[in-house]
Amino acid sequence: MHLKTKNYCNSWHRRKSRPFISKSWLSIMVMFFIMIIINPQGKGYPYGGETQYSYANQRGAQFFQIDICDLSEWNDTIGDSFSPEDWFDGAPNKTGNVAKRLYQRGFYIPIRTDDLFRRMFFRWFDIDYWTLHTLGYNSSYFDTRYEHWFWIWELDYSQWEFTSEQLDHEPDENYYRYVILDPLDYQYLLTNYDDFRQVFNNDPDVQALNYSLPQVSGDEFLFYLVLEDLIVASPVNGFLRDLIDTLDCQNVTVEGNTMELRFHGNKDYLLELKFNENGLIDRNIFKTAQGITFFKITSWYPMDFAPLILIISIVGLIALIGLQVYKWRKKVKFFKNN
Amino acid sequence: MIFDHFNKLMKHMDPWLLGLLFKVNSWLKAFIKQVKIDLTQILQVMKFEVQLHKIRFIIITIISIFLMVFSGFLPTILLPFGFISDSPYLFFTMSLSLFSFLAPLFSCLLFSGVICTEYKRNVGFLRLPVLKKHQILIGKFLGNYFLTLILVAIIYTMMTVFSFLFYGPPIVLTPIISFMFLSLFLLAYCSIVTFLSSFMPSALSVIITALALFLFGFGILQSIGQAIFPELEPLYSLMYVFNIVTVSVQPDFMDQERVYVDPETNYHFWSFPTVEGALLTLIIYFLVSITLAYIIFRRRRG
Repeated sequence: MHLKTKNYCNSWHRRKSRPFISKSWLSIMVMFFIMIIINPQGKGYPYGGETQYSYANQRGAQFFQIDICDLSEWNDTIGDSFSPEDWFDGAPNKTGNVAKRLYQRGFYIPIRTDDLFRRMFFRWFDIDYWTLHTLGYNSSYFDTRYEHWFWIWELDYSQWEFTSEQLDHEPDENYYRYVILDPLDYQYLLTNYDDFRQVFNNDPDVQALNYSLPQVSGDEFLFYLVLEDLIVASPVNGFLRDLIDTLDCQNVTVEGNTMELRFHGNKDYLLELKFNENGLIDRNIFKTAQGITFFKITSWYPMDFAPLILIISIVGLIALIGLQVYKWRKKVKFFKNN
Repeated sequence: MIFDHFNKLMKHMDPWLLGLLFKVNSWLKAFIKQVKIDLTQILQVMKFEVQLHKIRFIIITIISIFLMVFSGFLPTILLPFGFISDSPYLFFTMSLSLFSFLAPLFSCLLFSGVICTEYKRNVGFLRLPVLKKHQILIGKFLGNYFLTLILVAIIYTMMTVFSFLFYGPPIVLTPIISFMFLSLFLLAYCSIVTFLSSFMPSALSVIITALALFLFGFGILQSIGQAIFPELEPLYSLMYVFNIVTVSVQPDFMDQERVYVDPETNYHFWSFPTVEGALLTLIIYFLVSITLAYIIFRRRRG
């Protein structure tokens, strides 16, 4: 009898001393919760230790709508040299037209200078990369001359062009964009481009082919980046300030998450860009120098409805549980009284 | 006025025919009365079955929602290298291929004890003399099928909500077709589980057999069938018919290539059945299984 009790006690103690959850499961759960805590609203991880900026790799759709489109004012102010179609695909020439962009995935990758040259300047100035290759300006040439590695977020996204009709389920095109995490890299890129431009333009073989690369100022480069749907790293305000400082932009100001670019067409005009917390352009406004808006695009994200849907679900669940509790209490009361 | 015509007609009618008419009338009345009683009893059994499996259903629903959120939604938005496809149709196809497998699993949990538990425990409907066996079978089947459909509807609703959050409007409507096919598939599959339950000793053995049949049995059958008759469409395999559930989300699935023939080996790779083929197979499976289940249930003693 005594022995049995002892055995029972031993097994009870063993059971008591056994952890409720094993260490491996606990570590997995802790890792998972740390991941959620670090990243509460779908924000990405701060990759690239050298920079203070990080990129939130936000996936999902962004809808654009043209709120104001005064084409006569556009022509009077900007002129024929630049039209809404030069920036946006489809039919961005009517108030109420909508477009959509879907961010699918992102890769954090190292990239060499020649890759970025190809994606930016050579595309911008219509220089055939394979012709450059035959002239000796190949990857190894760029790699030995410019050794710097850029760590970028390459984003795959699908685009639905501006249309007056309802947007289809299938995209019109698939694109990729890149986010450079360090504003200094933009400066580095522009300096390297200027260096390469001088070598390139002085090359007799290049001159024979009638190729040349123009000089690019910080303002021009920034506007090109804007036309290419500039996506910036977070914190946005600091990044924008650093960006205009490093590029030495003369006609750009930053206030909060809003960047204002000043241009001169037929008349002076302003382009106001508001970035969201994830570094995407939320709102584009073209204004006259007098502050009259003649073109405005706003955007919204379906993911913004997530908290609302969550609240509705929780309220519904609580109501359902409440109803069940009420029914149960009513039954208990009935049995008590009878 | 109408009655006058009716009385005149009665006077001129053959008495034999009149007698037959009255007989038919009384049979019809008795039949309608029986159907009403049957329906009432079936409804009662159904209600009781739903009440009985309420907790099991809630647990299964919570597990499904948990799985949907933690393996489908949160990793996509939280993990830095998460991925969403460029089309909501593809998103549905990918999600369905993962989550629609849960539906047979959960329907197994609900249906496994439809008949066998009646004999295992002494508290089943068979103890009630007012209930007939067909009423018990239909009531229990419909009760559990109703719960399974609610579960599937919850999964589809969640997928639609996630699709809206990722892709925005317009909401994709083709999953309704997929939902209909899955409902039909479950009707056939649940009737097979009921059939297994009619002669197997316990619910656990039914679950294991039904899942093994779905996951491996039909696959093996299909491989053997295709090895012997390479040109024959494997409509006999529920695994193959199941493919229409995921494919039917695509709006142009009827125009898609259904079979690829390897020119060297003449091997036919069937991807999904036609609508008619799927409907016919599922209805045949349902009718045969449920009839067999009823026959065995009627003959089973203890």
